[in-house]
Amino acid sequence: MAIKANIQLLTDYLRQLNIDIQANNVILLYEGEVNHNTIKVLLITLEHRFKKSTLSRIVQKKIFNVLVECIQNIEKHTATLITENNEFCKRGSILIIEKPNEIVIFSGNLVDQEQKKYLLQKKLQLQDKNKQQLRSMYKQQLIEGTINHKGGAGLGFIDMARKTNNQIDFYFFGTNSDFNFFVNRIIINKIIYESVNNSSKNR
Amino acid sequence: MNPLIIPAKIDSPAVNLDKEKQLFEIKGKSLPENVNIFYQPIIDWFTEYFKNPNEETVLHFKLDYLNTASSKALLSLFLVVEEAIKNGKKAQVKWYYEEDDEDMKDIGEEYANIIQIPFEIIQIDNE
Repeated sequence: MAIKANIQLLTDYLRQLNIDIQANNVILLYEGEVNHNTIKVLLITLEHRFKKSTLSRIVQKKIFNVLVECIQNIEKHTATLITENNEFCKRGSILIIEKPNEIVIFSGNLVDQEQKKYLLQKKLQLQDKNKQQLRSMYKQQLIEGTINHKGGAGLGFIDMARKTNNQIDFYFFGTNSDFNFFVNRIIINKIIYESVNNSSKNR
Repeated sequence: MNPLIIPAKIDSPAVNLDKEKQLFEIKGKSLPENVNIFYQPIIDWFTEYFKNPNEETVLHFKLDYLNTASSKALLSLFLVVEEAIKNGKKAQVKWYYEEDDEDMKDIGEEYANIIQIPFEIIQIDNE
């Protein structure tokens, strides 16, 4: 379903979650059209940014990982918009901020009611699942799932949950239409992975 | 049999499949726009190769990053190898992961649990 809609900005909705972007170290902020080229450009941008970063390689890889799955999720589960030039496009937002002990990644996009229902189902599936349960879910989906026409394997949210100790939150904000603005927050705990990194180096 | 050589890109790994040189390696990042378009020629190449393979085949996977759709496509590739082994061919997989990269190690372990192939998971130093 395609709609003509006002552009929704993630940063506007984050204020409702009391996220003060200016108080944090912003690693990446992107709001705009989302497609495969967006992923490539953002990966190059992050690689460049990480050259000067003190973040461990393992945390950097987790950020890459979550970023890619977030954008691919937006591509698959977002309302298609009609631009002023009557062209179809998919819009989305990514914000990555660094805090002293964690990396917080937000993705945002407009969803219709069907997409919201799908996302709520995903949330329910992941709720309270521990590492071992997530591992079993991943394995089952890897075996039974097929790559669908959107190019997904049904593994994206499970994978993000696995790689971040299930620190995933979903938020839906009402808009002035039948659509919701969906915000996905994922937290990567720097301390856990930095300490793993250091302890193995000291072995 | 013609080798299948695909250079690495920002979103897809380098593929070096050469029967004559006994080289079977996939290396780099794997998050292509369309996993089926990227991996089907590789699966087809192995399907053809295993009709008349070398005495022993060692597949090397040195992946820095693997998105979820690619992980599914790789399973399809491993099933081709598994089928060849069932048909009496000799093949094994060596799955490399960087020191501390538990995520890449985990996915290797998942494959090792799912498929019936000699599957070695090898830690390498960070580059």
